[in-house]
Amino acid sequence: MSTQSASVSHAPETPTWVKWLTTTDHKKIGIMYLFTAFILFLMAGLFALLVRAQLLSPDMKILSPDQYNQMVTMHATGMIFMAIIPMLIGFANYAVPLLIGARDVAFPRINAISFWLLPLGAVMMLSSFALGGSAASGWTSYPPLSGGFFSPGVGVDLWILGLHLLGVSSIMGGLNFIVTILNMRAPGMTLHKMPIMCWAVLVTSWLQVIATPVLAGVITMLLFDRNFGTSFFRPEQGGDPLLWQHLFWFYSHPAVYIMILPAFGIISEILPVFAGKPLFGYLAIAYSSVAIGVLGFTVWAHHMFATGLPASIRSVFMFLTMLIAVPTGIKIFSWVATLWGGNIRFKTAGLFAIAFVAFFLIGGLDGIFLASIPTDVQLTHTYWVVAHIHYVLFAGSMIGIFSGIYYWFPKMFGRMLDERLGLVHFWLTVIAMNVTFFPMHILGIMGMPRRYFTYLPQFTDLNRLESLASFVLGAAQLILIFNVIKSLRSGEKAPDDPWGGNTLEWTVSSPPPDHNFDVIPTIK
Amino acid sequence: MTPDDARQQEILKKNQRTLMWLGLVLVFMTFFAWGLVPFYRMVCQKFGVGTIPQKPDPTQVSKGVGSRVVTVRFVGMTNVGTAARIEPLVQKVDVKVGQTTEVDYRFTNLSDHVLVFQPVHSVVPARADAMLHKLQCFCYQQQTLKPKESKVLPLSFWMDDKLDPEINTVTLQYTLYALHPERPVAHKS
Repeated sequence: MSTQSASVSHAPETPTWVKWLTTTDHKKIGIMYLFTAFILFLMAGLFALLVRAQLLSPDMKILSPDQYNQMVTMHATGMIFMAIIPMLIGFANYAVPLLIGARDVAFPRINAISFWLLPLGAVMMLSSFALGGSAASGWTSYPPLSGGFFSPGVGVDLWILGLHLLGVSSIMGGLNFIVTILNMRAPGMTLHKMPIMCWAVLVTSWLQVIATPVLAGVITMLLFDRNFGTSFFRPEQGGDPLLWQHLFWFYSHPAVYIMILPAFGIISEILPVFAGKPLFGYLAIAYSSVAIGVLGFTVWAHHMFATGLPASIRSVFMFLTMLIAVPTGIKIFSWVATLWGGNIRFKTAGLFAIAFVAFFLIGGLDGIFLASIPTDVQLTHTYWVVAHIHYVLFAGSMIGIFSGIYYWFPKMFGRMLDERLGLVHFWLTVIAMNVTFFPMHILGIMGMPRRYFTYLPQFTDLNRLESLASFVLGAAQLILIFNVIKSLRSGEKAPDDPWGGNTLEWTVSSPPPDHNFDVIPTIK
Repeated sequence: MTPDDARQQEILKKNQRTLMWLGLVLVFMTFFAWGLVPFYRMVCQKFGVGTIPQKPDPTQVSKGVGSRVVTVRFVGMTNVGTAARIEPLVQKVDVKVGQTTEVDYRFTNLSDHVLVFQPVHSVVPARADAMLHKLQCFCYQQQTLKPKESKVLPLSFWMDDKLDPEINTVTLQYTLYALHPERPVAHKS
């Protein structure tokens, strides 16, 4: 025995960093997704702050017009493809196998490849800053603006290639989660018994698998138009720029749900725990996610109401878009009913989940005005759209992500986050977020167009207010970073189940063992 | 083999089967994405929407001249960076529905190079597009101008009496794009 021990102790110990870089463990990969995507979130946030600094007054000279366009483009691209989607995939990676009672995802090595394509894709896109400037045609990259004539540098090409890598990552992640959730649930865990987060991830994964090949196709067409003389989108040779919009939004509208459904799932797990009540309307929430996923493929042309589409076609898309309000409303009512009469504990994770319900609702309501053709033709391309997208993606997705961080951090690292710092982070974020984004509705009604590096003098006061609030919003995130570092070093040790959770991850130690469960649980 | 091992083996097989089905979904969606291009062209040509060039439709013939009068305005635009000019020789005509009308556009090459182009049409309001039937148009094929050359080309059309009664004026615009690769021009600029 002693000889064996001696031989073991002489074996070189694999350094911790090598273990992390070569891991196929879903928990480590999930944490790496969250860490990488949070770094990229800070980068994309910095681009946004530069944009807001330029908009402090109409005659600011912080950015040149072209630099401004680059910042706007890379802020949105970074937030969508490098920050929000990967952070949500990070939570899915960490939580789903634990939630369904599995030891890992179905294909752990594919999972590792999916993750490593994220930094690769990000570097590919960001390298354009060193090669003459990034893409500057907006995250929507409409031709002819994104064509070779108006965007002659390599920025758009690298944007396309980077997006390809992120798209492959997204598809592989989607495949993995569909297989994992369908086949690897613990014995006795039927689809109707699995945690609601798994429903959200399942629908999201289908969206990724079905929609992303269309994005891959359309950006390849643009690459060919730019470099190989094809004319998919060039009207002078028989192409049509509007074809880009149809194909791009066929992917990108479902992409909005890729960015919000997992956040729905996160807060659907968290709200019942902090309300001390079971989730109201489990099946309604589960199947409304499915309904949103299906309807999400039928509404793309509502982004094109002002492009001259025939009224009959626009009316159909307006109707289908309005229809999405039904499953979304079902969710909102179910969350409110979950909170109603509950013994609510106002911990940071729960507060962020409640804030999600309150402020995502604004993003839903202001979206109705864009879904309606008569108001959309007035509001499209104005700051109303900017307000809407930020109430959906910041007040929705990001607030959901913050909620998830505060909720699962003790499980991930075995340490509690500091609640006092958490509350400061919460209040500063929520107040600054609303002061930054709500006045954009007013600017939109006043007719301020989006994506311009300057504006008319009468818009100055509201723009200055938004810019100052955005700086507070940015600074508030430093509190979260400080809290994470402080808690990792000296945070209170987390028990196995600090919140009184309802799901399987709280039945194992914090952090969980490598194999998750000593014995695969059986669900009754 | 323990029951746990047996379960793992079974799951592994199921996983591979499910992945294969999902692979087929991926292949289908890839073909679907590229297949949308010809489908879109077909829909646009059928319903006269988008900027896909329409072809002359010999099945569309005027059923006779009606009494309703519609004003048709003509506009010409040159794409940014193209050294050429396009101008209608008349700004507008009042036409009776079903009546064949001919107007001319002048095209001028301002550069020292041969210019190859195919004008792209656009109609406002868009729903009038399918009601404006062209019998002869410079937009149906590629055109060539020698350096500094100027040429007058005809356009003949008739307006369908099915045109929405609310529409009194239709604007027909042609945009002139040079049929050269975009890149060299852009790099010069």
